Amino acid sequence: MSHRKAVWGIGCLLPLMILLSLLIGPTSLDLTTIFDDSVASQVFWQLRLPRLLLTLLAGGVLAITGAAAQSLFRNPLADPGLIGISAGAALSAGIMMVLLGSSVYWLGGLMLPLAAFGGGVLTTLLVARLSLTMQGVSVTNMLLCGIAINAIALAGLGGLKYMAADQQLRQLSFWMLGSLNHSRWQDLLVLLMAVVPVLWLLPRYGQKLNLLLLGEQQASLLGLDVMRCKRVMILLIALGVGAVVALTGIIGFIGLIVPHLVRLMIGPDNRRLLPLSALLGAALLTFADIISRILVSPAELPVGIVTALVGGPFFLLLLTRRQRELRVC
Amino acid sequence: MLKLSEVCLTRNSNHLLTDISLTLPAGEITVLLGPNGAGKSTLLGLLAGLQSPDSGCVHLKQQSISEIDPPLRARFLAMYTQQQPLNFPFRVAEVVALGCYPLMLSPDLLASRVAACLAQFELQALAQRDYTSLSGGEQQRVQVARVLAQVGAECQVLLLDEPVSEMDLKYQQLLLQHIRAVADSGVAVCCVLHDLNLAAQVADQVVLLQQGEVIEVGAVATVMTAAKLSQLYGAAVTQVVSDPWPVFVSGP
Repeated sequence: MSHRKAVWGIGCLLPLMILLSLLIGPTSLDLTTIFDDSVASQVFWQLRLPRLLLTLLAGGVLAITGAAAQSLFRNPLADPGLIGISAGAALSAGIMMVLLGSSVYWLGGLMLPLAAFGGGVLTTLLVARLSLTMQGVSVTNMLLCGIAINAIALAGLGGLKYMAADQQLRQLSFWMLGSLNHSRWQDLLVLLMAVVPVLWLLPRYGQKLNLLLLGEQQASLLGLDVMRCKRVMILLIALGVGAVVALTGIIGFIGLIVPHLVRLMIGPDNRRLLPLSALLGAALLTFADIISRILVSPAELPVGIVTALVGGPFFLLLLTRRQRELRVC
Repeated sequence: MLKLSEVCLTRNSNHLLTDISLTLPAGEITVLLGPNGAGKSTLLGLLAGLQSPDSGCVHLKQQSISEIDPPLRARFLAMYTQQQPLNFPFRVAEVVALGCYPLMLSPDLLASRVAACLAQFELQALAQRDYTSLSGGEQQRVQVARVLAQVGAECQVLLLDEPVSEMDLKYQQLLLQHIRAVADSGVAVCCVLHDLNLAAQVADQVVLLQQGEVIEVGAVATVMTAAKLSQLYGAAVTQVVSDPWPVFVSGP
């Protein structure tokens, strides 16, 4: 598929999803009444719109950081969720929430995103260190590292549940499943501050990530300051994933599926892959959110369950394809 | 001209390179010969500034190679390394275009340079193919074409680590012609080869490397003799022809 067709396709899909997301819900909404002083207006401004914005930002950031992580690790399976970055961020934010109790909203709600960011940086560094062998990045080490970190984080979050008070328990539970319910305007503002640099800077590193795909030695020989580039990438990925995880909990597989789909459409050139992944990620998470709201309406499923239900089989499919390729080789 | 002075490198108490002094003259092709593990790739890595020596220095025109800013160094020096871990499905033309990154060309110039480099290695028919679907020899041609795409007007050094290991005879000869043309334009070329006959055919200067030490440097006629090569590789080498360049066969 040509680049132009992909842009058109995603460009049409995104507004469609945005419109559907605003219209679909337990309360039917007439968009002509949103400026009136009505229930519909409140539903639109206080519930649907902030939720939509959170969904778009979360989907976009998860997908673009997934694409960047795959190039950084030179491996198409390196999703921040799978390799433990999201879990590390969630554990760190969970600890902060239970330890600080209601004081967690100090600093204008910045504490949780900061904690999640810290956890994200630490786990990314850990994965990077453990997966690097003499022969380059070891996929096995990277995925095993992800399994270990996910297990530790899950155990940690489970332990925190015992320590938590009722209110905290509910918050913790939503984290472990991934939900877009927590969308207030003030939280969105915090998220926006964290993810604007990510969405702005990552696409600018497209060509540098392309060089990294040639191998670190070759990238260095082509004039790239490899260490600096890797450091910036790790910080941006952790910042993006941390900020999203602090608000939505762990929403898996968006960072894996979306870059894969975009790569199938336009190839692996990061200059185009990164921005298009962000757009498609926003569209697909919005779609998953719509599904999560209508499946058990008027209640709703945590969106993490929907993405995992679709993403899990997709990941298995990728693994079988990879195995077949290896057998052919 | 690239110059190494009294370079030593030790890793984990292994002496990888010991007291090496060497000059790669501009406009000449230097061929590094030596058995596996002799330190040839390590030496090329030092020449390229990929790692720094424990002692001694590597100078490109009176400036230490490791002190040159990476983007500038990439315009002065290009290198083909043995390991090419690219496993994402780029098209062949895109891979070659990545080689032009340091040159900062306009889109038009980039397209014409990529087309020229593809043509040099008869890769036009593969230009739109997925790189990961190519055979080993084809991938090597693409990577060599990418490295040669980096050799612009400012380039002074070209380093090649076993660039023909997977190529068939035709492309081996083609590559030798191209690196001769690069050398003729004033670039210092250094190439690691295992094929003695290719080495004898193309080298202006031959360096024999054994266990991290340079044991001899000189012209083909003086350095590449059956006795010295047999001693170097620890295996019998016989010279069967001497003109216009020596031809060797392995065995007594």
